[in-house]
Amino acid sequence: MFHTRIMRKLSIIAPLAITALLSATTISAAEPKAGGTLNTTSTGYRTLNPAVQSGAATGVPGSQIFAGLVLIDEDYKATPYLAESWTVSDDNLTYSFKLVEGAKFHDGQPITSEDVAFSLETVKANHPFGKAMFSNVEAVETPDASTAVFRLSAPIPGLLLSMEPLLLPIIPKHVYGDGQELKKHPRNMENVIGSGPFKVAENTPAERLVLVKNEDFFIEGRPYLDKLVFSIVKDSLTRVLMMEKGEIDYVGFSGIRATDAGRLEKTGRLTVTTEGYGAVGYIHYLELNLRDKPFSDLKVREALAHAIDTSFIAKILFGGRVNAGTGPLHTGSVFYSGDVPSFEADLEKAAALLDEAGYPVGANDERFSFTLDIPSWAKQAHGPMGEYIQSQLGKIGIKVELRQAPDFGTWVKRISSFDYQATMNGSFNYPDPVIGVHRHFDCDNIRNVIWSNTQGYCDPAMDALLDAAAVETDLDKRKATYAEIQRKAVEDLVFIYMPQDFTATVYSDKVGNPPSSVFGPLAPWHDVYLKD
Amino acid sequence: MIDSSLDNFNTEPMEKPASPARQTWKMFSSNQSAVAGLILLAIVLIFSLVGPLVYQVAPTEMVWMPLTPPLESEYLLGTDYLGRDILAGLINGGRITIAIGASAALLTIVIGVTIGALAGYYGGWVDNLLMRVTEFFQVLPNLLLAMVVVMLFSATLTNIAIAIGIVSWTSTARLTRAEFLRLRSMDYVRAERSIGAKNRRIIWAVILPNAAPPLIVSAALSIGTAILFEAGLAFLGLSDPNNMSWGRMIGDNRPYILDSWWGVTFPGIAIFLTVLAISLVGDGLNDALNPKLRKR
Repeated sequence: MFHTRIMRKLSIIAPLAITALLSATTISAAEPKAGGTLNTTSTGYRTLNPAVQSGAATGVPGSQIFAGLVLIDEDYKATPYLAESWTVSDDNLTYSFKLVEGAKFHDGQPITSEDVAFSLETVKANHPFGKAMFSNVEAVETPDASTAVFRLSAPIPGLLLSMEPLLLPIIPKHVYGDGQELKKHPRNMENVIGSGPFKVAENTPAERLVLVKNEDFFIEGRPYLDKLVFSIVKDSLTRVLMMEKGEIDYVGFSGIRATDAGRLEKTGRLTVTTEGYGAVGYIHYLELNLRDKPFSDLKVREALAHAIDTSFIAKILFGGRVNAGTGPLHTGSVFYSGDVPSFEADLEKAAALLDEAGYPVGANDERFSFTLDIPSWAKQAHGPMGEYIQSQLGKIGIKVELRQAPDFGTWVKRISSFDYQATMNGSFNYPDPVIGVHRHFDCDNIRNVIWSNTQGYCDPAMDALLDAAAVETDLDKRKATYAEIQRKAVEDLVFIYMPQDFTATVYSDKVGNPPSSVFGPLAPWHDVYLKD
Repeated sequence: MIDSSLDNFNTEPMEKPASPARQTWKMFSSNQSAVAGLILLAIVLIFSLVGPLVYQVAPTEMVWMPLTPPLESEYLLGTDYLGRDILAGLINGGRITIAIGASAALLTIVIGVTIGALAGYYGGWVDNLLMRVTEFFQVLPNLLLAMVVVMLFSATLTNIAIAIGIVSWTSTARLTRAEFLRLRSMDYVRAERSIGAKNRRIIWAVILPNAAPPLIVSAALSIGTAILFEAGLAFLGLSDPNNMSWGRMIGDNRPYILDSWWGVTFPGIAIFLTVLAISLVGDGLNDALNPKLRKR
C-alpha cells in the first residue's frame, strides 16, 4: 500500500518542486543578480569525471560540470533536475524518468536517454560505490530519446538519492563511449564535455581550474555566476590567509581547521557554518582490530570508551564546533538516532574494567601496549586525536605507540591486509546508509579493501538488521531499524566513535546562496550569486 | 742590531714547548666567539640534560588550556594545541634533538671516513669506484632522499638519525680522501711501510690521527647540520610521534601559527642557539687545530 503512496507523493512533488526551484525559494531579501567571478580553491584532482572517482576533490568541480537526474533538498527529497518528472511502479521495481526538453551537452549535442543508460553502466562498473548503489539495477531501457526506464531486481530505498550529479553524473556517450577504458580516459581531464551549469574554460593541473557559465543550461536564467576560478591550494593555513586577504570568497568541505574558524569570523566579513553536509556525513572513529587480543575482548573496548573523553576532543581540538558523535550515523542523517549506550569519561571505571578483563598493572606500571596507526589523509584531525588517546590511555597503564603512516598507500596496505592493531580512521555516510554505513558491519564485507569491514566484525543479528534496512521502503520502519543498528553498533563497540569532522562552509559577505546543500559543495552551484 | 737580538735570544730561558692539546686550548680560548659558543653550548647541554630532573612536567601531558600564551599561566612559555607545556617540551625535546644530531653526525663520520680513507689510500680502481658512489649520493637531493628513507622505514628516532647520516656523509668522504691523498706519500708513512706495517695499521693508526684535525671540525659542524636537518624533516611532518623533539614541536605547531606564535618560536630559538653554538665552537676548533694559523 505504501508503495503507491510514495509514488503518488513523488508525482505530486515533482512539478511543485520544479517551480520552487525556478523561483529560487531560498533567497530571502536581496534579488540575486547575474554576473561576476567566484574565486575559491581546490586541493587538486586527478580527474574531473565523478563517474569514475569519488571524493570531494573531483566531486566539487565535477558536480558543476556534469548534471544528474535529480537534486536532493534539505529534507533528503529528490527534486527535478535533468529529469523533469518520474514515476515509480507499485512494486518499487520500475523507475521511469522523463528528461527535460531540449537539454544539451556543452558541445551542443542533445542529452538523451541513451546517455543516461550509458552513465549508469559506467558508474556501476567504475565508481568505488557503483556496485553498492546500483547492483540491483538490472537494466536501463530507452523507449524514446527523452524517457529512461530503470528496471530493478530488488527495491533500492535510497535509489533517488544516488541519482544526483555527484553519484550519477550524466556523461556524454558520444565522447566516452569510444571503447577506451573509462578510468584512464583522456577526456576526463582534457576537453571535458559535460551537461551541468558550468563548462571547463581552462584546466591547468596543480595550478588552476576555470569554469565559465553554460549559456545553454537547461534551467532558464541559471547559473548566475559568469565564472568559477579554483586555485589549487593544498595547505589549510594558506587558505585561511587567502580568505582573510579577500583573494578567495568561498571555501567548503574540510578546507580550514576548526581552530581557525574564530579568527575568520572576527573579520566580520566572513561567515563560517557547518550547516548542510548531512548527505556526506563525515565521521571519525578509532578502529580496533577485533580479531586479536586484547581488543577482541568487549571489556577492554569498554575500558577504552570510558577512558577517551570525546566531548573533550570536540571542545578542545575542534574548538567546540563539531558534534561529539555517538555512533555510525552522522547527526545530519535522517536516520540518525542518539538513543545509544553512552560511556561517560571515567578513568577509574576504565581501570576497573581492565582489571576484570585480566589485564592488571604489571611491570613499569603497564597493563599492555599497542600500536596506533595514524593515516596521512586527515592528519590534521587524526594526529591530535592520536596524541590525546596516547596521553589518556597512558594514565590507565596502556602504552600507546603512535605510528604515522608516511603516505596513503602504506596505510591502506596495512589496514586492508588486517596487519594492524588499531588505527584512527574516518569515512563518509553518504546520503543513504546502504552506501556508507553497511560496508563497515556486513559479515560478507570482511574484505581486503579499505573502508570495508577491515576490523573483522561479524554478528548474524547485525546482518539481519542490515538486510532488513536495505530493502525496507517504509521510511518510519526503516528509521526504527537503523536506530536499532546504531544501538547495537555502539553496544558492541565495533568502533570507538570520535567527534564528527569539521566540514564547514566559509564565505564572504559578497556571496549569496553559498553552496550548503546536504551534499555541501558537492552539488551544482547554479543558485550561487555575487552581491554588489 | 743583529748581534743584540741574538744576545737577547740566547739569554731568554728555553721554554718547554707546550703539548698539542694545550696549544690548541690556548689558541681556542683566545678566540672570543669560540668561547662564547662553548659557554652557550654548555648552557644548552645543562638545560636539556639536567633540566628534566629539575622541571618535572611531562612533555606529553595535557596540563592546561590549549593555546595559552606565555606568562598567562604557571606554564611560563605557554601551551600548545593540546594544552601541553611548551617549556617541558623544550627541556625534554632538547635531549632527543641533541641525541639525533650526535648519532647522525657519528654515522656521517663513520661512513665518510671509511669511504674517504679507503679511496684516498688505495687510489686506482678502488678510488674510482668509491668516488663514483660518493658522487651518486651527492647528486641526489639530500632532503628528498632522507624523506624517502624515513617514509620507507617509518619515522622513528633511529630511522631519522640513519636517514640523516646516509645523506650527509659525502663531504666528509671527500675531505678524508683529500687528506689521505696528501698524507699517504709522507716520509713517515713510507718509513712505516718499509718496516713492514700492514695497510690496515697504516690507514687507521698512522694516517688517520694525522688527518684528524679537519675531520674533528667537520664532525662538530655536522652535528649542527643534522639538528637542522631533523627540524626540516619534522617541518614536513616526518617526526617520531612518540618522542618530543624541537623539530617535531615546530612541525606540529606550524598549523596553529596564526593563533600561537609561541608554539613554533621557542623551539625555533632553541634550535637557532644550539646550531649557532656548535658552529662557533666548530669554527674555533678549525682555527685552533690549523697548524698554519697557529704559527702566525
